[in-house]
Amino acid sequence: MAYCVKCGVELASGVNLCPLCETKVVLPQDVTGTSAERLYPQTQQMEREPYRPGLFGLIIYTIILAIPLVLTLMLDLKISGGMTWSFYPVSSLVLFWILTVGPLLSRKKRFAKTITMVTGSIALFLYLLNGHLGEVTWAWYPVSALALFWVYVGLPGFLPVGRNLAMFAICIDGVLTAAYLRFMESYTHSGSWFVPLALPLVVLATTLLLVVVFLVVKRKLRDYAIAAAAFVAAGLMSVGADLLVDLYMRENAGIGWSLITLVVTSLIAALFALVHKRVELQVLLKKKFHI
Amino acid sequence: MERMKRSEHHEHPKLRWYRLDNAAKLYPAIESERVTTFFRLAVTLREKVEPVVLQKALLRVIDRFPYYRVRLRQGLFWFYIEHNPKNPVVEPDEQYPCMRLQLCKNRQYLFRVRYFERRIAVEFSHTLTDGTGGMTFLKTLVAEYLRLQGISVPAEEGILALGEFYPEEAEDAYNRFYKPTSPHPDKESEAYHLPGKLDVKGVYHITTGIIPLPKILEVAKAKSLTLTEFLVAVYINALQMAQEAECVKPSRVRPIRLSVPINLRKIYPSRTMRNFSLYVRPGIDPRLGHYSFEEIARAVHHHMRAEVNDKSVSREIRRNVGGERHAFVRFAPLVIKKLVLFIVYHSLGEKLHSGSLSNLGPVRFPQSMAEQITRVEFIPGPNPVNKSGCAVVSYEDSLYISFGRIIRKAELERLFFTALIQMGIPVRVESNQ
Repeated sequence: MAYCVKCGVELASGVNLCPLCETKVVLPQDVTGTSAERLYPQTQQMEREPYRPGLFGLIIYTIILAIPLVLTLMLDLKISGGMTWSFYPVSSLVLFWILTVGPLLSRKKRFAKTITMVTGSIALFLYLLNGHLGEVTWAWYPVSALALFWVYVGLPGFLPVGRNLAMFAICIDGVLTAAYLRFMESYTHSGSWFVPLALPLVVLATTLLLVVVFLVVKRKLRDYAIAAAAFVAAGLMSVGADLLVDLYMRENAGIGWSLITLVVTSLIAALFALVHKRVELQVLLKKKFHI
Repeated sequence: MERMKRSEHHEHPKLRWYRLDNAAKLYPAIESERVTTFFRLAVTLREKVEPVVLQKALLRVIDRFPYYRVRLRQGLFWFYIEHNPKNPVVEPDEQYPCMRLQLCKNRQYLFRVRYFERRIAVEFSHTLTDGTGGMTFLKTLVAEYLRLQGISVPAEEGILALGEFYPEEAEDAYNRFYKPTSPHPDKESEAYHLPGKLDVKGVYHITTGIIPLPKILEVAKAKSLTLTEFLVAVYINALQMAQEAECVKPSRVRPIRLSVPINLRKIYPSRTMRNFSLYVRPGIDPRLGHYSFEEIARAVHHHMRAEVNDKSVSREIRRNVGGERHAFVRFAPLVIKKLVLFIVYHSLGEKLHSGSLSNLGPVRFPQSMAEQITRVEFIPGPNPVNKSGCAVVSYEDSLYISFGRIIRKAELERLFFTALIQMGIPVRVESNQ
């Protein structure tokens, strides 16, 4: 007759572990030497396949989508000898399947992977759509736009996280935005506006953004000061845009409309800076706007 | 804890502000001439009150309670209270207590300190605190008053020591003990209300019954009830008699429920000096037949036992705090909130119960102070739907039961006190007529 030293319950003879707390049973000697009576036989059921929920539904869904796809494809091949009109239902069904199933597939970095799948598949679909009818002409516009969108939204999800992630991402965004605009310039044969206009604009925007983010990351800007800095940057950006556009259009630089934006953004930035300096104003804002 | 920090007690008085606690958020929106949100606590001394000394005591004491030294302000989404730079002043008493407070005439304060003959009274709005908080303030104020008269009073028995301060006193305890996984409380049906045309606005009839405490405790104990349960049973019995006397048709008979506030500081650990009480609603359903006093007592006893615990109370907290935290509510502008709350409260708010009984319990003072105090009173605020409410406090050997009503006839009080007399409990009745 043994007891569990932790729980205090009496245990059946010959038991090695307490069934309640799994504490080892301390037996001075095996009781009477007889083997314990087993309450259940040793044999076990056959092992079952682990059940994966959802897989069955996914298979059914794929089959349901595959049926019209195969049907239209086969019909087309039979009638026209090649893929003509069936391109549309087939490619649409494949795209639809990717867009609905894609987000469900992975757990890690789900957002970045979803964005990649969505933009990639739509871009591919449009490219093939265009190519199906002849030469690829208009498809480059949406494809390159989707690629840029992916760089802004999807790429940061794949980069290693760190304090410098934001700045690194902004640099890449700036470079690739410039590349996109250069590609647009050559593809649309619309003259040479990249070097005099687009490039300086992109450089200015990227630099301003980098400066603000750098100050935030290095903790030189906090709370309301960030808002103030953002508005200052916006004001400077508008001034830069004004000068560059004037230079490009009229060969002489002058601040025209950007004076208005500069004044407005400076005022707002000054207000935020004032709030940042004065604690009473911060408390007043909290009092009036607390939810 | 994060919520506490956001409306933290600022070191600088000028920057000090507090969010209203969950219960308090209701009151500024529903306040009107009929629903003044005030309640009153008073002590009677042996000597006549000297207003100059009382004023001096108030000025000394007010900074110990920074969450009462406030004025009410409106934000975009919620009301809030902030430091009030003006000094509070004492004022002479009036015939009708707990009447509507015009903030602009009270230096923006949400409480009043009044004196009359030998009595010092404080009237608090529920925006600031509940009965327990108000009583602590009154005790500390009177202690300081007596000290200025030369009587030494130690900071014991609920009197706060001036000079110390604990930030937990300003916390919103409802939010602290909110459990989002609790279910909502059960829904209840409309209850019986006393009939009668409301008296003129500004008139509030107070009837106080003074009862020897040992005698009533003895009677309650003989029926195996606590004092609160006993009083609730007598009150419900009186309401039953009132409803039967109205000779309503059987289909018009409604349940009788009392709203009994419970001091949650006894259930949850909190030192808050703001509101921290919730209500249980013991009652009977006369649609099932006439209840004898024993049946009422049994129903009340078991209801109180089942409901006064942290698990049942957490359901009420869940409903109240959950309502406050709902995205639609939080982001609704205050203008809309005020309108909605006003309409909802004045049409539904008090319909679920027939009356209220608030028992503050025995009040104790340090020995040197108790020698100067002859009497303590607790008077409830006016209620236009229930027409009559009851507040109870006991001091030394006497129990003081005060009814406040805004109808002319004192029928309910008569039924209540005569029932006590019939049980062998002597009652002395006073009123402010």
